[in-house]
Amino acid sequence: MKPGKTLTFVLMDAPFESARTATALRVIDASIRRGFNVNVFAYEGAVLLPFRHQQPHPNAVHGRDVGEEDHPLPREWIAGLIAMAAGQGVDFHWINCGLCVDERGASDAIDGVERGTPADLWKMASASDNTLVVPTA
Amino acid sequence: MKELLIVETRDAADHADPARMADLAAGVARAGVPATIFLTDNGAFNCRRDSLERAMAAGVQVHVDRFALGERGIGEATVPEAVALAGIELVVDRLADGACVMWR
Repeated sequence: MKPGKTLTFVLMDAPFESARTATALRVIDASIRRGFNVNVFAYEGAVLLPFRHQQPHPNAVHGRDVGEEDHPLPREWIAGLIAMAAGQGVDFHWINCGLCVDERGASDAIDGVERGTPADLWKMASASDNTLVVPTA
Repeated sequence: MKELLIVETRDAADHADPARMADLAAGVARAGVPATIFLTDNGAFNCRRDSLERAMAAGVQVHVDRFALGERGIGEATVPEAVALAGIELVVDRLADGACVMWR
């Protein structure tokens, strides 16, 4: 870990289901901007947040094509966090729970996402200045 | 516990628990531990709840997420004076300061 404080976040909700995921990603974004090292442990449905095959779609009801709809994708937000952390010179680790990945066939994640176990969460939390669990609603 | 921060994301009109969390924060504050409630997501609808007024009377600080207000079309001018406007950075800063943060 690089010098400075380290925060660990634990995410549980699947993509496209809860506002709390977007809000948690805002907290993570703000943590990186503050210059903190960040760990994320994603488990249960949250392992699909960085799933590589998420695709934007048009909105026929509103008559918008894919570009006009500009549908947000969590995998792009996470890629942005990884890039921003690199630019800020802070450590950023996103670890997907391997058990949860296998259950969901979610192994094809974007570059930069690691596979781990609940033991990694314990190690990260033990080594962090603080840990925030964002449970499912 | 050095400090308690409760991140409240739920509308008290839909859930009974935000009132219980406000009572918890009030009890912690009465015990001498600084306690704060940060309203975000649909929790932003709770600004005028009686339970929050009781908590604030016990010494709990209440902040509401400007972003969540804007998303829901809630005018900042309608937020009670005792409720402070804040950004999501409040959560980060409290975490970094070692507060116990509960996300509800």
